Amino acid sequence: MEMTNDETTPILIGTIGMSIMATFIIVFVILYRKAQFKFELERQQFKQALLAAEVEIREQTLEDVSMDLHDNIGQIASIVKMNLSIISENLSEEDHLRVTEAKVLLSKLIADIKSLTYLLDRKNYKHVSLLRLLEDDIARINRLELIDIKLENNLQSFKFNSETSIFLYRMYQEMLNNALKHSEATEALVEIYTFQGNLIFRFRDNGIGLDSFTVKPYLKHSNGKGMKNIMERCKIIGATVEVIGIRNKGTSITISLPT
Amino acid sequence: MTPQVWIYLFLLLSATAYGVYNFRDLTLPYRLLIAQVFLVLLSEITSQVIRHFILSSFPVYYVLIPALLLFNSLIYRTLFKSSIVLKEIVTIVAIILLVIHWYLSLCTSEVWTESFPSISLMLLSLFTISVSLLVFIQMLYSPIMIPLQKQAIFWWNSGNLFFYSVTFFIFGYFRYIKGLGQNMPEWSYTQIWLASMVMYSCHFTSLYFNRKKSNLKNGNDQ
Repeated sequence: MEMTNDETTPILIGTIGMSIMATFIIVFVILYRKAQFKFELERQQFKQALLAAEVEIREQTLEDVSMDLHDNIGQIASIVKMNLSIISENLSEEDHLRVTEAKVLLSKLIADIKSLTYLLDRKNYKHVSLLRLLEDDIARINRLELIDIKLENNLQSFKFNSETSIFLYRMYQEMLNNALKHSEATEALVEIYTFQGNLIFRFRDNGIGLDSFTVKPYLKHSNGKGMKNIMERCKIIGATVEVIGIRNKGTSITISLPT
Repeated sequence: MTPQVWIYLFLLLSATAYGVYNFRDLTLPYRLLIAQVFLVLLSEITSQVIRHFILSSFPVYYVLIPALLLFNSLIYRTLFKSSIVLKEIVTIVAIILLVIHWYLSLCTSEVWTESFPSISLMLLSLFTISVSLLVFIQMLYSPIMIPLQKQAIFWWNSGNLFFYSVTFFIFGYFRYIKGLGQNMPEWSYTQIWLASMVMYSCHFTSLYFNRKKSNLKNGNDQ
């Protein structure tokens, strides 16, 4: 059956119209995906900026506390110690002993305040390498005999920027705190090395561990401030975090940072 | 009635029943959509009935077209809630089109049983196509992180765009063909039927996704 011109024109126009509409929908889908991608990127950037601001506020607060400890509490403790030294000269044997004991305790308190002041203020880390910070801290913890920690690294020539150093050090502090408070671990190992273009920072302990099935939800819904802080800091520096827990065999937290 | 009509009525009835059953879970634009689909169902049944008495279903469309215009403008108004200017434009244009429709229907000498309100239908199509394109632009400017194929507004708007584009195209020929003293070709009815099926299937899908989204308490009308 042959079609006349009058019959083919509407079909032709209709076909062109349908093609335009199909093209429109396809173009719209592509443009919308692009818009979604851009929106997601902006959202992530905004989130990251918020997190960075939050971390900055936290660091600033720690600095303020550190300054307060140093300028106020530390000074008062020193004055008290000096006064005790003056008082102790005219005291009986028994009271003298008590004052001496108090002075020893005060000396320990002043040393602790100094150490805490140092740990809280990030300015102290700016000119010290991460490895040095870790070695010092691990030595201090080992002296206290709270847990036996070892450090293994192959980063002799690796250069950290100061922000990454502070972030990794703060994360290490959170991991250590978690291990001391919750894991009942007696030994821990800190590993730091490069692998396939990533800087790997791993903290392992031999504590009570986690149920391996609960690791993911644990990370997602973790109420613990420590773990949340680690995850936030990882997001800011573009690192990923992986937690592996085996019941009664310990926990391993690995941070991967692209170099 | 032909099987095509039965299938069409069944689709309208299913969409209405689904919408009524999930009425509480739907947001305002989709509640209006159910009312619109129900109205179309009623009008289709009415047109089938009155055809037996007066041999024409045209009079039904003189009432259905302004009703569709009213519902479409109300739905689009609720979707443009962030833009007062667009809301006002939709309202004003809808009022103007309603006035034109009633003027053409009441003040021209044509008899309702003999002439189809094709100009009104074309104006309704033009209005809906324009506003649906605006909705697409609005979607591009304020994307949400739900995949496009799971967004109720995408289905609803795509269905409208498709149906009214086909309608606009076909009824653009209506007066020309009638002027030649011929009847509309058979393929045009098949196309209208297919376009209606596509649109109401899209509307059904949009109701489904809107219900799911409302269940998640997203709070977004779209």
